[in-house]
Amino acid sequence: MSDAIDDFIIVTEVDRGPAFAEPIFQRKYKASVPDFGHHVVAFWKRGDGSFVPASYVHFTDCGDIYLAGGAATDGNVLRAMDEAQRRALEAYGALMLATLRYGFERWGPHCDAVFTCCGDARALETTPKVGFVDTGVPHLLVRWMREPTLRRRRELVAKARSFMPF
Amino acid sequence: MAAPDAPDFLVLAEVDNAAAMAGPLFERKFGHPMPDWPNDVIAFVRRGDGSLYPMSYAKFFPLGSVMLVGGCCTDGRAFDGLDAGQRAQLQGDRSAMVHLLRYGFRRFADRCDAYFGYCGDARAWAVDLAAGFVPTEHEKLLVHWHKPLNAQTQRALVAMAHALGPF
Repeated sequence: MSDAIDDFIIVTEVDRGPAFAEPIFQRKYKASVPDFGHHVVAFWKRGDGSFVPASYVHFTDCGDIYLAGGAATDGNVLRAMDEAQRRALEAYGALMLATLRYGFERWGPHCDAVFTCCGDARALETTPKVGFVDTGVPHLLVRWMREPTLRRRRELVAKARSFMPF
Repeated sequence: MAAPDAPDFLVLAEVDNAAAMAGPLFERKFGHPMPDWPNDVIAFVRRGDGSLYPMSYAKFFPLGSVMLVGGCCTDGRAFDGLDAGQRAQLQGDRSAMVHLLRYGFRRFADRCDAYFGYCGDARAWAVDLAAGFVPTEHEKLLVHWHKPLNAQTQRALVAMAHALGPF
């Protein structure tokens, strides 16, 4: 992750995503957190030893590819941090980077690529920072975890496209 | 996986990065860092402001066809943010640890044939029994059966767990 935010941001997979991320997810998507894995949550670690869910992303295992979606961050939690923490987070980039990087590290070695579906201008500023690139399909981005052949890439893009929107 | 018998303010979950959340509690209790083994479960108290405080921790360590349950610890400070009604809901055989162990039993049921615990503390022993452990013929060794196994298989698993010594 980054030493600068390690002290107060904890990223982890949890088996019960809804129990931790339902309010964050509802606020952004007006829908419930998926009831299947994998759920990645970035928690703000407070000085009193408690943890506050601050950001969420969902990874779906589709065999040779993973789909990353449902990214959402609670701005109120970010605003509740102290100034030094906010500065460190700003320097880091965005909390979504931390949850995505966690997912890449955890599931990247088990797949050829991670796809995400993104039409949000602000998120599109962030996604290249973690290696997402255009696929040629509108709103569909990919982070290659291996070096597939061109033909194989086309197959995987087609597979990911069949799941859209996610 | 829901936790139907636990109160709403108690959030039970398997957590990948447990050391970052319950590591200090574990270290206070056992005097050494949390081992980097799977699988960790934590009972969090959800406070009024939405924050989550780690109250209880347990590890379900897979060993062959069984799981060893250990590292159990509870942070009494987690009670600080609870009102009297909430505290009452976590008394006796409804403690956070009882709920957490039962959660682990359900969560990992398809990954093992039995769960073993090793306990030398009278209070923890009562908690273990409330969660569903039963004593074996060996001192301090407990087992929770969740599958129909024949008597010979049960004896073999108990003998294997006993051979491990304290865990």
